[in-house]
Amino acid sequence: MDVLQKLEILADAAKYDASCASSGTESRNSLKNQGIGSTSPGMGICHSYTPDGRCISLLKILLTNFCLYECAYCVNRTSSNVPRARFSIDEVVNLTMEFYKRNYIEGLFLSSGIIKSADYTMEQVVAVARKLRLEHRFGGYIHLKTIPEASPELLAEAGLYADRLSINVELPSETSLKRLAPEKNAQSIVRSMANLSSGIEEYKESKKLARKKANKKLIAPKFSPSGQSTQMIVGADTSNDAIILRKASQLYQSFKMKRVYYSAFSPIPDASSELPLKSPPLVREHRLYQADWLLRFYGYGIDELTDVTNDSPSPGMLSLDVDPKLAWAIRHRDAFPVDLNRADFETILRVPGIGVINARRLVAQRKVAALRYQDLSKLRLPIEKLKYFVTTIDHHPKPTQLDAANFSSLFIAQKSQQMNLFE
Amino acid sequence: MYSFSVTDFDGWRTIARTLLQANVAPSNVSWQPPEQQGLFSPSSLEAIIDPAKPVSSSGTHTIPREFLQRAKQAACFSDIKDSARKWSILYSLLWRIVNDGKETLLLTSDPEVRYLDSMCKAVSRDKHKMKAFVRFQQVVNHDVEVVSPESAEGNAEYYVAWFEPSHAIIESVAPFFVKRFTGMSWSILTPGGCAHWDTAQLTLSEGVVKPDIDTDAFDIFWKAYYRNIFNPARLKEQAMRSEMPKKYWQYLPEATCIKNLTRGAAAITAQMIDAPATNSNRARDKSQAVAQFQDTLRLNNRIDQTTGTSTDKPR
Ligand code: SF4
Repeated sequence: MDVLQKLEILADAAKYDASCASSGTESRNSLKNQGIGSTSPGMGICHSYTPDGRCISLLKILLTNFCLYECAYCVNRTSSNVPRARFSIDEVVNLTMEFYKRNYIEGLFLSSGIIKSADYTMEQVVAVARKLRLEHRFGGYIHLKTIPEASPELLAEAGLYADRLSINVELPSETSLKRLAPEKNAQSIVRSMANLSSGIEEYKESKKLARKKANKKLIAPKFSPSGQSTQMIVGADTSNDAIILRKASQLYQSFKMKRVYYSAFSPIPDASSELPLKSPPLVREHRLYQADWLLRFYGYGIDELTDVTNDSPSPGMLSLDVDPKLAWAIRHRDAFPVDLNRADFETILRVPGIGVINARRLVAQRKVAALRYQDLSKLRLPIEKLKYFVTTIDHHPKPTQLDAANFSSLFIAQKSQQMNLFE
Repeated sequence: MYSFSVTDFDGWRTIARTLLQANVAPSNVSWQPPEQQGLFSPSSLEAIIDPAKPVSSSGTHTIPREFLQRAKQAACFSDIKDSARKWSILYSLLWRIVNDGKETLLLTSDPEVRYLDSMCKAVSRDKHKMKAFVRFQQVVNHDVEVVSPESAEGNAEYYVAWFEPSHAIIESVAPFFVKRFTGMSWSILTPGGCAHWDTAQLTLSEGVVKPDIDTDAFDIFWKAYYRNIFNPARLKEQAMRSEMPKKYWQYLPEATCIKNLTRGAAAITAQMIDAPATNSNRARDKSQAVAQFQDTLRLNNRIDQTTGTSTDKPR
């Protein structure tokens, strides 16, 4: 089998993993060592987009899609009837270098099916990164998917070369993991995440200390400067959004995750009989990302975002019709309208349609002159949504509108057309 | 009325500084595009400073760094309708900052502040897209005429890219490419200027017309990757188009695959959904070795989970 065929199979096998965005890492360039590659603390660059709207920033491939595990949601599980292939270490190294030199990618995202043993597989993955860094002086981004059962020494070496390490938590509950990924082990996942977390922390601390004492020698050996991330499969078990978000919050807190990725399991060739028949609507995944963002940067609580009303038709779920922030505002109409000229920053931040940047702008601008309705459109804020929730010196929404029983239908009607596109 | 013709940021800054010191209001200055130089003779800077008039009270002004940075970025902006407009807006804003304070920049609904903002946004977006969508082609045949001879000579591997940015950004993005592609020789060619790197030295040269560059044989790998990383069950063409507008497709070898991928997506997805599910024990039933391996792992799994504070310890 030639490299082209392998690439076709092993890219196809990798496409369901969502956690592939290259993100900020250390600032690095190749001026000193005359190599190839640079990274920055800002976001990685999207070099292309596929017609599914996803950004391509990394060469995302599997080293091999042979796998001895039987994870029901995965296209590469042992019982799946897909063509198999295996790259040699050099093949992956060359593809990465050649793609990078043509400015196709920011770097490599390498993961692998599990062959022979966890350590054997991990050793191969690490070997690719080692060769790229040491032999080819590659300075681009490297993300390695780590195998939780692999030995800590291997994880430590992976941290030396990778910008980011990740371990997929896969499912929000231990029971689901046992049922749908019977070879995986919740304990080793947690243990390895904790290992990564402390390695990352140690490295960070040593850099801080080195800066304080102005002594570069104090910097510990590199360890995954861009932190760790994880992925959770959505819709393969019956966990509701509140359970998923709670698990995510816990991961953010315990292991200082950079990101938790949510992946609605998608139709795959040759699906397992263990999976539910229907894949979840993609809009659910989208809402989880929105809620995740609100939890981390807007100070919302999980119970504020998910449906906790008694005898709700969908307990613990986020609304599919409207985004979680709007849904919260609709449930808390008594808190509106908000006077944009008086309210504090946190209150303004809770207005649907106003994000962090615009909330800051509004607060800065009203110091110069009182805010008027037209200032909002000049800031290109979504007036149609906003107008019910705010007052300015020349705009006061009719209270009857907010109180109307059919208030929420105002938004759902607007949205329903778009929604069909997602489903 | 003073009249100046400016080509770049440094030129504007020198003039603006003098104007400011001489207290010349924006309404008394006219900024001309460089082509117009013959029409109005540019005022000489010395003539502005009238020895009879006192230099403005503070003498030198402290200008917020943020403004200078943004002005520098806006200086790359090409306004098709009125190429000198940016200079007069920049001077007017500078004048207002000095006279009304730096809060002027916070007036996000002010037309001039907004124009500055939109210029900066456009330029930064253009730079970003250029970093993303420049595609280097490896050229074997070095007699591409547009390439500066020094950069081509003696290097086995040589890469060329053709790109048409909307604004005059080649000089300001070149360092990015130098830091990233240090170990290789390359040229980026654009109509407004070219950048060449020979692994040691960056050279800038005049713009060129679109050259003939042979397709890179490696393209086929990239296209294969592009086709296979696409998930047909998630077709969202509009999202792709908004991030990767069609005007850039000409630079992207992979863009030729888009039409077929989009067209086939629905059928492939339907096929996947309709296909019967596979029994999850298929492999175990067929192979003793697999079953044994998995059993060991599943057993370890169970043992591991009973350590610690577990309540369901087997007795
Ligand atoms: S371990 Fe599980 S998720 Fe990973 S490749 Fe194998 S089957 Fe897929």
